[in-house]
Amino acid sequence: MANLKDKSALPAYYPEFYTFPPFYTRQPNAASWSSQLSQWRSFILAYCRAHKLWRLNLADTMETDLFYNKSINRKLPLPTIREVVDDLVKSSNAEWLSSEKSIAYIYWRTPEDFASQIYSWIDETGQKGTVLTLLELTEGDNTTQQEWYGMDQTMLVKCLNVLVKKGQAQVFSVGDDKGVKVW
Amino acid sequence: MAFRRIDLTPALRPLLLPSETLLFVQDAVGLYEGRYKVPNFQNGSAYLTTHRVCFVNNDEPRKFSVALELKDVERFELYIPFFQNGFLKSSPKITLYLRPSNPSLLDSRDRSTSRSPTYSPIPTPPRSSTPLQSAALNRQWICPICTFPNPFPSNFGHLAPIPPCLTCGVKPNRSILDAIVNSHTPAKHQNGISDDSILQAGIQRSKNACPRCTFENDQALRNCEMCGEVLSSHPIDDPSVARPSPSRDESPAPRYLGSVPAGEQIDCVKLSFRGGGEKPFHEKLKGAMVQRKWLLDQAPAVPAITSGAANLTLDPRESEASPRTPAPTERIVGVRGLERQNLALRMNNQRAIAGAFEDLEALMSRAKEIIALAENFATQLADNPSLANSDAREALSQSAAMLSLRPTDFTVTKDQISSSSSLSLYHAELARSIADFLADDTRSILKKEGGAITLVDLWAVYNRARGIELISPSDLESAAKLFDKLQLPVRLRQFKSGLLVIQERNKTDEKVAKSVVAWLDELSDLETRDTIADNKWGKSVLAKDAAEKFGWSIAVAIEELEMVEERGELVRDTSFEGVRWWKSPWYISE
Repeated sequence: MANLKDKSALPAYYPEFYTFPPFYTRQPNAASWSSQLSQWRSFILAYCRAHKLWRLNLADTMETDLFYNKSINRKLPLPTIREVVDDLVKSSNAEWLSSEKSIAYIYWRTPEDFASQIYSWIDETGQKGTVLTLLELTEGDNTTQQEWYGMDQTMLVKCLNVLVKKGQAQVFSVGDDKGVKVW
Repeated sequence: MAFRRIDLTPALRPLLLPSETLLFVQDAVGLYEGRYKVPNFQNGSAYLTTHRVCFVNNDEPRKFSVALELKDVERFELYIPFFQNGFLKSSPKITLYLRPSNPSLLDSRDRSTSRSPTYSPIPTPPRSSTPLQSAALNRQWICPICTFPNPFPSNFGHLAPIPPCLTCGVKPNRSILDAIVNSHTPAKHQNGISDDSILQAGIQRSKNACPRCTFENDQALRNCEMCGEVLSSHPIDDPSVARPSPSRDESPAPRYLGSVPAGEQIDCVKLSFRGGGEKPFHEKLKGAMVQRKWLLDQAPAVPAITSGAANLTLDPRESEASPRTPAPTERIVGVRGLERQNLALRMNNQRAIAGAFEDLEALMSRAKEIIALAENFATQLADNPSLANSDAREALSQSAAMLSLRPTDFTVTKDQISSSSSLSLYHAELARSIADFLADDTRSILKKEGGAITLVDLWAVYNRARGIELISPSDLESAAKLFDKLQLPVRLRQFKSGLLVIQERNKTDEKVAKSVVAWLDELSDLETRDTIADNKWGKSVLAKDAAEKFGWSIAVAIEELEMVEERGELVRDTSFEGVRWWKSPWYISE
């Protein structure tokens, strides 16, 4: 990350198209665009995963390495970013925070994936039946190695709701905090 | 009959002779020989030119197109049926009565060429021209003193004075000139008297031996390659040589003629005007028959001024042959003589120019001369180093170029098309003439424009070439829309943006895409060889680069690139610098 100008130092999750100038122009040709779109989708997800990014403020991230390749001086324009994120939303890899479409949650795993991960972790650590606060799950010392560590609270609730629907968990409020009990 | 197959232009119009002009076009015309309809010649267009009446079949123009020389027409008649809309419908017709063919020619030809007693592919030579004079023009006598080949005096006779040699000034012996007259005339009579003589003439012609130096020239040559002597089998004397068409015997018109009942002499040809238009055709035909433009070909141009001007511009032989030539009374030699000669020449040129610009009619009739003059001035100017003024030089050479544009070849005007037929015939003819214009090799307009020209550019170029009788943009568009229907070698293409472009028909999208991609590959090959850094994306181009490379205009270049993009073979990179084009890494060719 520190020396992105050196192309060879790019982390592996950067797609090869990162240095291809037309990659930053919305291709009018449908076939070209669909290839371009899928490249962008996987790049956004991989990037967010590597950087543990849960929510993407489009206006802010536009200037980051994700959408801006300084070495070739090309950036993906905002409408095109929206279009890509819209496509992610369609496949439930993302979710708009509001209808303005300026901030989006990025699920580099689907809520179902996260839910089953959390469930198996609770199962493995023998915490079934105990009440855990949501903060414990995302910020606790025990979960630093887990993929969902640092996850946004709202997103976590969404993931836990998957378990609730399956009848494997119950979410309740303890004052300002929220708790979850899995069985 | 005097019908001959004709050559067509790429746009399927009759190929005009150098001095021929189109007068009128009428569609929906059928052809009759005598009283009989000619099969395959019932639906076509009739082209009236200053020299010929041409018939071009609509469906199979390459096979069934013939022409009749106006010089073979003795008289003509217009027939308008009384009850045109009545029960027995008959179309108006124009009957062309042919001159009776030369019987001696006929007898000798029919056995060797065709079953038809009337078939004669060789029209009789025009009577009203002066064959002796035109022949004399091409003859030479050789000075016994200095061996210079002098032009044969046009007014040679027993009483006429003998002109001196042009270089050494010594008069030749009369017997020398007599020998030339005698050697030429019998050769002329030999042509086509008996089968044997024809055979011999054929052999002789096939070798085309020069009568002076005996060098065996190519058949197509008019003058000997070695000594410049005029060859005896001059193409004008024998049209069958001038128009070699090996499949003549199979040509449809004569074969039909062969099946006409024996003993029936066909002496007329009828044009049946099923779509109307007979009256204007008749009018124009009348005009053409009165003007007899075909005679001008043999004549040495407008006599009034040729004398001097031609001296400078045209073949010196010809000018010397004209009556003014020798003024034996005042012979001045030496430098003074040269000066005097120069002065006279300048005076004559002055007269030529003044006369030509007096009125348009005169200008047209003297066009040839004036063009030659202009060209001559241009070369003189270019040769003259003291004239540093390049502007003037440019202007002159440009005006010379403008003059030589020969607009008439490509012009179709509304008054050439009968008013009775709809506007679409005019547009169709216009489309053909535009196609000819674009296909013309000497201009190679399409090639210069990279194979595609926008309608706007074409309109400008075409109208400039016409010079007069300009066409309107809407007429051009309507004509261009007919390209496909008429199966012309060019096509109108509309790009996504609505830009209309005229292209060669064989220039398909695939071909363009292929050449663009190949070009990009080539560029990136160069790139990787030149620089050490490996740029795996190859090289990108701007529309401007493509325009330069392929000779397109910028608008066409953008459209073509977008077309290739549409096919998925290119991707664009829009930045504040403009749009750059890259070869698509995502493209999967089928």
